[in-house]
Parts: sequence; structure tokens; C-alpha cells
Amino acid sequence: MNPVYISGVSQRIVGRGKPAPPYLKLLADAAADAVTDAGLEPHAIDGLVLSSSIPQPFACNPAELAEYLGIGPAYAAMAPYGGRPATDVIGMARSAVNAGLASNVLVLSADNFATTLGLEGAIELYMKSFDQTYERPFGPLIPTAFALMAARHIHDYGTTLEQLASLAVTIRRHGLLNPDTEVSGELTVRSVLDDVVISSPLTRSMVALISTGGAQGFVVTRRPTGNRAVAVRGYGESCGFMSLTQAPSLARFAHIRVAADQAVTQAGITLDDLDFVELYDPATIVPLILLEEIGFCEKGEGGAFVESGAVDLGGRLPVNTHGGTLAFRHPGMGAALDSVVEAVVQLRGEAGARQVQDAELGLVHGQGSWLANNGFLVLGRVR
Amino acid sequence: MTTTPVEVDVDPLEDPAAFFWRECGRSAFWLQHCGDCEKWQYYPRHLCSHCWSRKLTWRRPSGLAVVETFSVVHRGSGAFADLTPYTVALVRLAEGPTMMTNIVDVDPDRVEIGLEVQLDFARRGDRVLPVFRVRGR
Repeated sequence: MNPVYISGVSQRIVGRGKPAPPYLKLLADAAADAVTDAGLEPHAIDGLVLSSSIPQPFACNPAELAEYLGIGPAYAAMAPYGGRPATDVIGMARSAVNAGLASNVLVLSADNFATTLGLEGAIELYMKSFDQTYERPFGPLIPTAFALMAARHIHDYGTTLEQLASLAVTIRRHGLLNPDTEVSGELTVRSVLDDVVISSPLTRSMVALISTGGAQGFVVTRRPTGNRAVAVRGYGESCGFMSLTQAPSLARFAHIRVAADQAVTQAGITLDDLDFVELYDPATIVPLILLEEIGFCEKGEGGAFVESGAVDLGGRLPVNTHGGTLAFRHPGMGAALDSVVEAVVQLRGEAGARQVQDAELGLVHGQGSWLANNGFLVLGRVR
Repeated sequence: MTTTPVEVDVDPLEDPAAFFWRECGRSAFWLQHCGDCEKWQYYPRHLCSHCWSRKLTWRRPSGLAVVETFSVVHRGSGAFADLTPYTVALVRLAEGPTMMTNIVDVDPDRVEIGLEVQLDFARRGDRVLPVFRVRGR
């Protein structure tokens, strides 16, 4: 497959607890910023892929959005469901370019439902991810899904709560280097363990933030435009289940490797070539399991791997350099697209205090629901 | 409840979820069993997820299970706020499938992976849920 490029990116920042702008304003601003960043004029855009917001899957269809933005004639598509890995929209844009349907595809995502629904309303909405018929009646919170994984991982592999806490400490340290973070203050292993237990064994500091909103934009192009384009070297995606009861195990997830291998093989690289990874982190157990299943360490060694400092900035495989959803923000469906923005910023060498030295190759992960559906994107610097 | 298997043929076009919950309301727990590959499945479906056969029958399983993993919820949301702390578990039924449930009538500190549990029923709001309690109690 021919490489395509992410020539422009944008990221709309709302700020902790502040009301987010209306959905269409977020999309319009993300669009204008991304096209400007790509060094293009709006009329050069001939494709649009819309990433749905969780509660607003059909607030506008992609043709309506293209019309609103004055784009056309254009290819228009949408990823309209929850439980998808969000990174899928970059894969869809790549497919459209490679199929000859478009040459400059605008990819947009926006969320503001925690603004419109309030925090409790947002939590209720997230909980609809659980199967309505056979899971919700038993009262799992979203963190419960990850707590069930953590309990089993601790049982099977001797992973410790200290190890799960240490990853929160590391990612917080990274987040504090991001000028747009919604959190403040260092964490320590002790402070993480002493925090309020949400769903045992997980404390509040081990699970994601809930943000009021945000937006992301990308211009995916056949040829690099501007002079800061990044190459999309590979994309893989695989779902293994959706209901927690249908997962073969809550400690081992073979389908993760399928998707990661697709992306890495397309890129023609090995895991050792990667300079950093951005992993979806709704709870610290998730990146820990991902590091094992992708193959960065042996199965069961994820706890020791994160505790060793390997995943710190300056370590051999920095993880979540922007702070992820634990220590940057979690706007909704676009959380993994914040990771894509971060990877582009890193590969452009524009990450400031959190810059990974000589970053040339990065891996970005997006997750649907609870490791149920995973997407992996390999991005590389253009030489 | 009886452990004698009672088989009833169902039209696979019927609503398996409605049947499942109606029977729970009568304190009866039914699982689907495949007439072709002989495997059990949970949750109920219109075909066997193992072999795609549509020769499904409903059977009464043993009601015995083992805790695969669990979490004690301390911050309940909505209607669950009054129930905290409560235990959400995935249990492996003796017949093979895994289901989500609550472990009831036990100090949450006593729940552990591998704990042997047995089926019971609990009325909550307008429905009766299949829950599990420590075996032999």
C-alpha cells in the first residue's frame, strides 16, 4: 500500500471544567485550523471523514457537514458507532486516498457531551457501553471493566498495585509537561494508592479524567503538503469481542497482537524501531496489558516493565508523552485522536519540554470499549 | 431449584432475551445448548456462536460456578448508589460459559478469584436477577 501523509493537524482545547463550544463550532474550528496547518486552501479538500461523537452519532451526517463547511464535490464518509477505536478514521481516510476516491481528506472529531449532559450525565452515557440486557443490570461502572482485568492480571501474574500506580505517576509527570493539561500536581505511588477506591482494586488516580469537550482535525493527503507532513506507514485493526463475558480471558487478549502486527508489518519495521508509543489509557491496567500483548515485553512482565522506567520520557520507550486520558484530558470519542495529534507533534519535533529526542517512528493505539476493538497506527517522520 | 435437565424446544425466531428474563422472574435460570456441537452458550442468541447451528434448546444448568474475576464497586451511579459497596463478578458456569453477575450476601473482603459460588435470585426494582452466593451457604 502506498504511504499517505498527515499534512495538517489541529486540536481544540477547552480546559478543565469549562463549558465546551457547540458541536458544530468545534468541528468548524478544527477544520479551519487543520487545513491551515497543512498549508492548503479549503477548496483543495476533496474528502471528509467524520468521527462520530459518542452521543451525537447523527447530529450531522458527513455530507451535511461537507455542505456546512462548503466542501465539494467530495468523498464523504463517517465512522458512526461507539465501541470503535477512533484511530479508524485515519485508516478510512488512507483507504479513500489509496482507492483514488480523494487526494486531500479532512478528518474531523468533536465532543462536548459532558458540557451538555453534565458530569453525571456523561458517566451515565459512558455506561451505556455495557450490554444493556446482560451486563448493565449488575451495575458495573466503566472503571469496573478495567478493575476486572486488573484483578485477574494481579491473580495470574503477580502484578502489584504499586506497579499499576507507578504508571499513573509516570503519565502524570508527562502530562505536567503539556501546557494544555487539565491536571495539576505530581502524583506519587503512595498518593495514587491512598486515593479513593472507585471500583476495587482501582483508585481514582488510576482511571481516566472526564473532560467537558474537545476536537481534533487532520488532513490526510496523497502527497505531503506544507513542510511538516508525517507519513502514515501502517494501520491495523481487530475486534475480539464486545461484551466482557465474551472475552476469552480478561488478562490475555490475542486479538490485540493481530492489529498491532498488521500495522507494524505494513510499515516494514520492528517494535525495536519505535521511538515512542501513545496508548489509550482509560485505566493504568490497559497500557500495561497492551505493552505485553503488542510484544514490547513478555506476557506478565508489564508491571515490571513500567516500574523499570522504560516507559518514562528519557526511557527506551516513552509512553503517553502528552499525558493521555489520565493526565491530559478525555474529551470523549476523540481521546485516541489526541494521541494521533501528539504523535504528529512529536515527529515534527515540536513537542517542547516533552519532546522525545530524535523521534522518527511512533505507534498510536485506539481502543473501543475495553480492549474489545483495537486500532494501531504507525506514523513516521518524512525525511 | 431442580438440577434435572428440563428441555423445551423453542422457535429460534422467538425473543431469547425476553424468554431468559421472564424465566428469571419465575426463579428459573435457563441456558442455551446446541443440538449439533453440544456446547452451551451465554448470552442467549438466535444461533449457536460456536458452530452457527440453529438447533438450540434451552436447558436448566447446574447453577454452579467459579469466580473468574471481580470488583467491589464503591461509587455506585444512579439506582446503584444505594447498593454500594457491591460486588460485580464474572463467573465461569460449570457448563462452560462466563456471565456477569453480583456476588451477594458475603463480606466483599471474602470474595476471591476461584471462589465456588451457586446460583440464586434477587429481586431488584422491577426485575429478578440471577445472582450468586458462596456455595454451601
